[in-house]
Amino acid sequence: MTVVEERTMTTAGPEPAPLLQVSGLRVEFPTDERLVTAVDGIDLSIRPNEVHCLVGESGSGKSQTARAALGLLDPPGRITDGQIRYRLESGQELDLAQLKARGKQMRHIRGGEIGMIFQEPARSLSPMHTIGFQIAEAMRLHRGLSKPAAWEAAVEALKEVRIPRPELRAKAYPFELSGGMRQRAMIAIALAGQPRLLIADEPTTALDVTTQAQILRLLRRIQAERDMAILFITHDLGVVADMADEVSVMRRGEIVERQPVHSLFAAPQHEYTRMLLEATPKLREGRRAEASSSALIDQDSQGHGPAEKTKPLVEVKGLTKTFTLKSGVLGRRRRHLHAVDGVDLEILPGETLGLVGESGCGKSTLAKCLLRVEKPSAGSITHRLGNEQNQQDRAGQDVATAPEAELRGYRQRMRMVFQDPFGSLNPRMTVHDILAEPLRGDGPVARERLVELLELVGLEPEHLDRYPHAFSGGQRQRIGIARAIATDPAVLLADEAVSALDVSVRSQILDLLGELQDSRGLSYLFISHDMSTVEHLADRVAVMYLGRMVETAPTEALFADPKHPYTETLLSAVPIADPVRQRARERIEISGELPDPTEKPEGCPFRNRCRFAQEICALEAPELREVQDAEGNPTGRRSACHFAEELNLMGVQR
Amino acid sequence: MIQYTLRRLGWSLLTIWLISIVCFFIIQAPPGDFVSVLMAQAEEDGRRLSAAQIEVLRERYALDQPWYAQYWAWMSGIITQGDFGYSFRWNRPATEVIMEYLPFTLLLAGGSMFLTWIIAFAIGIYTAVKRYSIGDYFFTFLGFIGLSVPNFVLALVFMYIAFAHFGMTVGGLFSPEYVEADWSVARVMDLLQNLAIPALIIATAGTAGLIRITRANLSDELVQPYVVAARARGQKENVLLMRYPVRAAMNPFISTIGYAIPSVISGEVIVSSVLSLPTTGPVLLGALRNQDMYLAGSFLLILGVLTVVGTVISDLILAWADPRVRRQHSGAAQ
Repeated sequence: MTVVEERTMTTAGPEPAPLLQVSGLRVEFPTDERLVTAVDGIDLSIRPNEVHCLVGESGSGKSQTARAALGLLDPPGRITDGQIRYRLESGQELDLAQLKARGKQMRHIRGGEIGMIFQEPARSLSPMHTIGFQIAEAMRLHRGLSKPAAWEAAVEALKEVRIPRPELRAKAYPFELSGGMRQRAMIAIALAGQPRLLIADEPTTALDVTTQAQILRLLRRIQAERDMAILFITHDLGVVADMADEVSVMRRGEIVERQPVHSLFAAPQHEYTRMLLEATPKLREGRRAEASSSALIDQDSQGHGPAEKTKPLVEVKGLTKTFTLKSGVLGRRRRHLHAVDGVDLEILPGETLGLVGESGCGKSTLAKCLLRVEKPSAGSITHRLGNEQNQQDRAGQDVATAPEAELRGYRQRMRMVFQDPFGSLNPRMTVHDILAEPLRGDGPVARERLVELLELVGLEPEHLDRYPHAFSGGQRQRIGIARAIATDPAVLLADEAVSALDVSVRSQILDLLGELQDSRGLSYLFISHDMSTVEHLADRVAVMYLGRMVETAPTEALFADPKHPYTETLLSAVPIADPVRQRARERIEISGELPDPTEKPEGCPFRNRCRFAQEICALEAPELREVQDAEGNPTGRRSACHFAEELNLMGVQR
Repeated sequence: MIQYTLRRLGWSLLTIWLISIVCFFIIQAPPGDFVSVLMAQAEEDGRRLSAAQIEVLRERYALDQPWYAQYWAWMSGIITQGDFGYSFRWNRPATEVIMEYLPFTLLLAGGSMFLTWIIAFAIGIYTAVKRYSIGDYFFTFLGFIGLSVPNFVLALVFMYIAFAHFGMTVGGLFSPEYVEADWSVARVMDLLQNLAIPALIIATAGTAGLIRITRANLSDELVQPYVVAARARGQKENVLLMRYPVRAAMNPFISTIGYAIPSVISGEVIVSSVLSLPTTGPVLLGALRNQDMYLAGSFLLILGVLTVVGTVISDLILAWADPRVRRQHSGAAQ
């Protein structure tokens, strides 16, 4: 059932001549104000058959390096110095930097010698053409096939990248496919010309972790089968640990370190590499020890904890949100999408509750219901958030049905931090106005109070009169946090609040969130698809799948010993930023993709992707229930699996 | 696609019905019914309408019955016999007046739209691909002149140039020698020749706007990752340009069909007056000024219907050309 990954190791022997040899490459973007040097004299060599990872944060010049090699720099970018020597099969060497970007030779290199896949498969495929057409185009260009033969080859290529029912999918448009399938189609295009080097530019960044694991596995298999080298560009050290033979670390246009993967992780030479490694949240480390001693979090049900059981701040029962989709003539055919389907949830004072699941599982809808941005279709939300100033807000009131006018106090005590630091701040408002906005209802806002807020999140008082565009992504996220805590809330909902940030900035924001929690006793509902960040931050974790809660448990227990097969799948998909552990792991075959939420399977929603599925799973939907230990005692964990007690699932071992 | 088409057609029929009601009330708006207007006119001329004549007219337009019966009488006349009512101003059935002007107007509208497309397509692509080049600035300058100069001034300039330098008479449908002639190949050629300049004049304003839209749209598409991806698989630049970004930037072209027809029919009054072209614009204006309500209402109805038809056509072409429209119409709007 489980597969141990076999990796082809490059055999020892005389060093083979490099396939691609970059030396002294310099890429510049002249703008009106100044000259931006994106790539500043780098050397890079990629040997045949190796997977070479190019790591760095955004703006480090890693993508521009790859684009320069294929003459794909966006204007006004240009190569001002250096060589990019590519070794053809005949042994002849070509300097790609000298080739005309639109010339015949370069067009042969693109796709014929070097294939490329991109970060956003959704936008890298033309929305006006079927994927079969776009693959067949590449086939015609590089294999000289006729139209019908190219279509046949395209269908064959789709089969090779493991797309089910390729004849049908070839006729589909990109927007009709899932993110994972689109990326597979991109890979099929890139491989059409049988290239000897594949450049993969952040190919899994826009994908879910389970899909990422599938795509990485596909790339590894293809690389081994085809004797192809891969230049893999990424910011994710977990992916590096999983994929790389050789690693180059890039910062501000320079390569600061280059090492084989094992020695890079074991003994990083450059301080920047060390910083990156430290900033990457690793599974099973962090604040766990202190948090679990605070006695607030465990034993959320039965009384072998402190005498007085902590009462939850927010209690959600049977929460359901249904969307109706209309189709057919005059919208008569209706389908119902249960985005959130009978979810129970508690948020305790001072805790961080992590909420994880693939995109489309209902995490964000749940958050919107909690804030009453969406009105729940059923269920209740009770709270004891009322503070001194808002006496009209009776604690215990049902937020799910309360009239809009009575929600003001609740919404001041339950606040949101958004994912996109660029989109969530109004560009026409100064920081002063942004921070004062949630406070306006209570009369004039003193400047001192806003200054205090800014200082709390580590910004300066003089920032108050600037507009958002003057700030970096990390600073903007600090402004977003300051806005969220302005009304002195008890609970913060952080919906993917650090996902858009670079690793180093991310760890700073996470530290800030931790400090604020300690000083103000905040509770967090931390929504993320990134398991390692959740592990780093959360006291308890709730796992959602297709609108349902499938498992809740204290973080440590959940990661070490999951009680639901879906949790196991998620955990096994997260790459650990340590090549030794990552490659020693037993791999669980991740089957299929998240089904269409309107066509949820009968019975257990996970059963058609579950490797333990039995007959009963199709007949009966398992309830979220208390898991018992071997002696039949309650464990304080809950799982929605018929076999939660019997299964021995794989967690993440230290 | 079939479902989409049916739904579009259903909605457009509903819209047309609403338009017809509005037009009907415009016809009814002046005090007194149209037979009394007719009688007053006849008296002014020193004639009298016979009681029988009056009776026939009242019967035909159901003037003694409630408004919905009158509406029905008007509508059924249009649908079954193409009878739009009676024009007092012209003393002829409105249908005759309309049929005299409509075909030529449609020809002119089609011609100018065709010209607009060809010019805007070529220049739009050129200016988007060669952004900030001398050619771009030149055409942009030209385009803004086209946008800002009123069409009738342009018409006067053209007339002057054509007359002073080429000895051509611009204006009217036919050159003097063909006005009374029978239909022949030469006469058709003359008609097309006379059409070219008005079509060009009307096209300029639309062209300038469309060039700007095409340039902006295509510029957005040119930097899309799918263009880079097509380049990265080794496609030739000119092939990939036409195949991917241009195709995606075509939508505004298709949308122009919807509003080109009404603008030419109603909006080019001044150009038509200057060039003494027999288009519907001046006739509609005259009808409105003279309270020739059956003629005015009929024109408005035809305009409305043509607008709706144009919109439906452009929607359907859009759905045919753009799979996102075609396949997602019933999809989940979340």
